[in-house]
Amino acid sequence: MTTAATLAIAAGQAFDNLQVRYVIGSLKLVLQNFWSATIDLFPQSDANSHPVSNWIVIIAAQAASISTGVGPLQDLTAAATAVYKLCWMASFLQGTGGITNTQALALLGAYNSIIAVP
Amino acid sequence: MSFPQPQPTPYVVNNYQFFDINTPLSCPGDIYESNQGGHMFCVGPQSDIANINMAYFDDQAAPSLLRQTTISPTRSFVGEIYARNESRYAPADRPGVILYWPADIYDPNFRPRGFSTDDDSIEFVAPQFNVIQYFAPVSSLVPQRIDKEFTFQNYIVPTGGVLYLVIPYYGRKYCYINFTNRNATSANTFGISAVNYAITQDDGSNPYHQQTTIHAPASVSANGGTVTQIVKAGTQGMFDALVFSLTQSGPAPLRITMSDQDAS
Repeated sequence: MTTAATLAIAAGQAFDNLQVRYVIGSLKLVLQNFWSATIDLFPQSDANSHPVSNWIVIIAAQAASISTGVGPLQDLTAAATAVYKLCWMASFLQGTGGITNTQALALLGAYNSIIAVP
Repeated sequence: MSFPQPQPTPYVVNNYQFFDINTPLSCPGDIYESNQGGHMFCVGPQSDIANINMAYFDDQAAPSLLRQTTISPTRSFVGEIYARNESRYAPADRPGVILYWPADIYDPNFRPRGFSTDDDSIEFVAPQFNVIQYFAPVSSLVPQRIDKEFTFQNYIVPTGGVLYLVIPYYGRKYCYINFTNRNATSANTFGISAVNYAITQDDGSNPYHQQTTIHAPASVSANGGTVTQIVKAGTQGMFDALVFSLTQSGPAPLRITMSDQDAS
């Protein structure tokens, strides 16, 4: 697994990184840790950040719904797709001022420390 | 349309019967929300995205209370869905608004195999995302997309390089392509391929995108040389995007007409 320098790079690495988590049965735990570490970065009162927090809502729902251990392969695809899209959305909003650099860097930090690092 | 997105409530207040989200994708991660319920939901006529995911609040969808469904040009969702703004998705503890996002993958960092970062250039037509939410029952619902036509004629091609033009093709079953080199003196090397995007590291040495050659790059003679190509789902397959390559700036009319109907 590799850490990412930007959110766009993090998006591209999502499948490879989550694959490593999936095969050892920790996909659910990683998703739980990731959404709970990031949701408060994007408060509901901040309407501009809703596209990011909406993705975190979906990832949180996935984390709650998938089974512990190595589940169906579709769990991995769904998780990787959601993380891919979340990272792209955050990257776009960082570039257009929808979220702050501080928020974007905190999200990237959570990605690198929870999803990317073995 | 961009973010922050338009809100559906003014359309309700002003007695519009629908909320039409119709926008080029800002990025592969676009997601839209509605705090108003609807009677019917369908893919809009101008959508390049074929499959659109919806999420809505459902008390019985434990443990997340988030129910997910997909609409497409062949399947709308007919039935009332309420935006449950007072309720909370679990475990994220956020309002139960209706969410929409493309189920299809898009990657503006895609580069065709053999792409030279020094010599070549690439241009994307951003996929159009179009979903319609109806606030009142309607007598019929036609989810079919329009037959979309893309027309190009002149291009910016780097000297000594190749221009790649990427056109969205999600879910389409038929395409007619007609290319004519009207440059009086220079041949134009023209090719067509197709891609299904993967989630991949585009800056790595081995991106995972799946590419299919439709028409291998070949010289098209000056002053009227023509390439005509039909792409059918039943013959070549179904793809996320078509990729056209050219080596001259034109004039070279390129007409691309695509349909959801597999014309035989």
